[in-house]
Amino acid sequence: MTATTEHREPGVPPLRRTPRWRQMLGRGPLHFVIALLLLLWLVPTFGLFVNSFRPGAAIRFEGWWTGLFPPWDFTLENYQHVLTAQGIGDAFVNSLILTIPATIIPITVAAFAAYAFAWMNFPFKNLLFVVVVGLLVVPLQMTFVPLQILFRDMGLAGSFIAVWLAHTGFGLPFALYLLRNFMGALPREVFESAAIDGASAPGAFFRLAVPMSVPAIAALAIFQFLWVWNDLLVALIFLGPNIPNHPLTVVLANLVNSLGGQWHFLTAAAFISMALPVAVFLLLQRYFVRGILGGSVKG
Amino acid sequence: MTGGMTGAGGARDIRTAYLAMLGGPVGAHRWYLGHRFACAAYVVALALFVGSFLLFRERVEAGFGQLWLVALALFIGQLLLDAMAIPRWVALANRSGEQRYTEEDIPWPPLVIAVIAMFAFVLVVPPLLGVLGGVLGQAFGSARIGAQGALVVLVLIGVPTVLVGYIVLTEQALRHFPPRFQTGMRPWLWLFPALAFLFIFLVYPTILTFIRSLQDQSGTTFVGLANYEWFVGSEGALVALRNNMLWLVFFTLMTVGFGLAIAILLDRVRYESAAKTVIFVPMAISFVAAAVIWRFMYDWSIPGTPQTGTVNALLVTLGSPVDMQPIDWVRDQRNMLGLLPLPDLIPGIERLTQVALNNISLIFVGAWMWTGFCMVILSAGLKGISTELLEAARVDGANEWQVFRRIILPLLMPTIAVVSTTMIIFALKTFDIPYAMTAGTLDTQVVALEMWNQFRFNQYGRASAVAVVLLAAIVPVMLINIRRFREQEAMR
Repeated sequence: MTATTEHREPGVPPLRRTPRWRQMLGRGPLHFVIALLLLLWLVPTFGLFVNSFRPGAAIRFEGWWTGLFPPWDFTLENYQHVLTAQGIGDAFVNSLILTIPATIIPITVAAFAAYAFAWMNFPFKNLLFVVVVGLLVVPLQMTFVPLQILFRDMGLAGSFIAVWLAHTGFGLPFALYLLRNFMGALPREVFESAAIDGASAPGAFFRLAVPMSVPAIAALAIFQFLWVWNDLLVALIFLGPNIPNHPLTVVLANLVNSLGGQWHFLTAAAFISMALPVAVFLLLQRYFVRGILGGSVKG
Repeated sequence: MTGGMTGAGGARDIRTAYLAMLGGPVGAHRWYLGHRFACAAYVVALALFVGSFLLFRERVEAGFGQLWLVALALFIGQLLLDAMAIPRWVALANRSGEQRYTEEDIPWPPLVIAVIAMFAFVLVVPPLLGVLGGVLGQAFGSARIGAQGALVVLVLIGVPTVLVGYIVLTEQALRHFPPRFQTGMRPWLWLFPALAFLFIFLVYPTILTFIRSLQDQSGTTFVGLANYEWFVGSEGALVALRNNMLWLVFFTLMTVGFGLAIAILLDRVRYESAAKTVIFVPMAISFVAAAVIWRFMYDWSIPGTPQTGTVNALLVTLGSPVDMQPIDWVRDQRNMLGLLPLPDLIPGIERLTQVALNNISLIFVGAWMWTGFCMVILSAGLKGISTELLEAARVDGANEWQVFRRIILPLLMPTIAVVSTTMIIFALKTFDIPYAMTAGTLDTQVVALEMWNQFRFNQYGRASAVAVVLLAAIVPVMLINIRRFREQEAMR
């Protein structure tokens, strides 16, 4: 903005410079509104965080803010209890077992097809991709009954394999969409010169398309990871009554309904479930943002 | 090429011919064994392969056995292709050297590779997985987790290997065919795994669900539209439909509205990226965790006692001059449109046209999570508007509101449309927040939750009908998405 005032076209009257202190004061309401909004977004999580270190009786009778003032009475008891007695530790491992393959499989499957959609010619190509775009929004509920019956017939009901396969199918349209858009935007010359140099289709894919698509693949991996880790519905449907396999979301949701008066344990359980995705998210936020921008408003 | 192999001149020519066809690495074939021995090894290995599969089948996971079969199928496929290619190797070798060959001279190197690979698979993989499972089981103190962990490792190595192997193998197969057939066939081979997954896990079940929605609970007899009649006649299902409408309107308005406002506000300050992260982070946590967070925010105690919920504590403290009473946000079903009474849709069920407060409370939790998503996309759109345009308007005397109303809003409209359709889909599919906050009681159920309730009690016909209703609600948005996609493609 300062640049525009300095490089004015001749003839345009000079803008009156407001003094710096007036500027700051005039922007006071702006900063105040932003501060309020940030508080609204921070306080809920922060309150839970404080509560998760307070004993149960204190949580029940006083708000979390009283815990911030002396006398302090912080404890790790909530965490110890949920990790051992409520099975949150096992659920964490289950979530990992569920999430890692359910992230890797769809990306691998989608990569080859996305390359075909982006750089090969075949009949019905556009029609097929329109179907993929349509499948992006088909509610998963449409698949639950037949898939449940299919998994039961295959002896996979309640197993991790069933959930991996389901998540692969459900995650594929988005993975295809994102990767195809990204690969399609790669420079054509690169692939043309590779073809002239005699590179085979797998050669061009493994040596050019995949390395150049790393940002999109990373974005997709984060996306799928967060989606599977935070998913409740698919796990609930396909793991159903197989309690030892329940991931964090299902255990946490069941605790909400069963703990009743012992809410203080919920605080710690919720935080354990949030720790990994929030860490991944904060570390790789840039890739994630690139992913959602590529996925919804294509550049 | 392969130094030290000159003694076996004849074999070298035929090997060169073979490699010229495959374009594969030369060094890999140094340990060429010879025709008869390879055949014998092949038979022994196949016996071992099948035998060990039968042996291990009882003990390994179901998926493991299926992987075994896939490997076997790939192996047999390779074998057939090589057999088909033998006459062409011979022709090629005869063209290059002075010596004449017959098919008897073929050394079958790919078979040898396959035999070694199979031995490795049979002899190495199961014990390795067993050891890994044991180690993991020890580490986590649970044999079940050990076995599952070993399976995860198998999947992580196996799935990419099988897929890459599939592509390389089909590429080898394609080399036996004329170039035009190759370019015509290759895309379908590359698409096949993804299309198979899409078909098995999305398309085919969707079709079956349509059919299932016309059948009774057991799925044996067709009952016409009885399941849909049940839906229309069930008060709970209708309230769920009403709540989805509330989600659609308020969730979309809140997320897009807040997102736009925050994007514009933050565009003017220097701490923009840090502030954006704060708004964005709730997206990384699960709806269930958010439900827990907000149950503490919304907590309600009897009036007069200290309020432990943040919202009510603020309400009572700030509202003390007017004697503000705490509100039970999650249970209070008061109609927010009390001043604007709408006519009853169906006589006798007046709550179908009411905007119940507790639903708005739940919707706000969803909005709190997804505003960041809208903000990021809208902010990117905002950055795409040229600053010169905005400056020009300001120099011409437009105030900030006019700049927003006349320039920013029209230019952002396409982005707002994209974000809104995404949010509408989320609103229609919403499940987790009502499930975790109220379990659908107190008239907060939504269609997806209704589907789960029918599913849970094995009412598969009714569950399917509810799913079809959900799909019907989403189809218009889907068509909008497809049209937008086609417009984008036309501009490429």
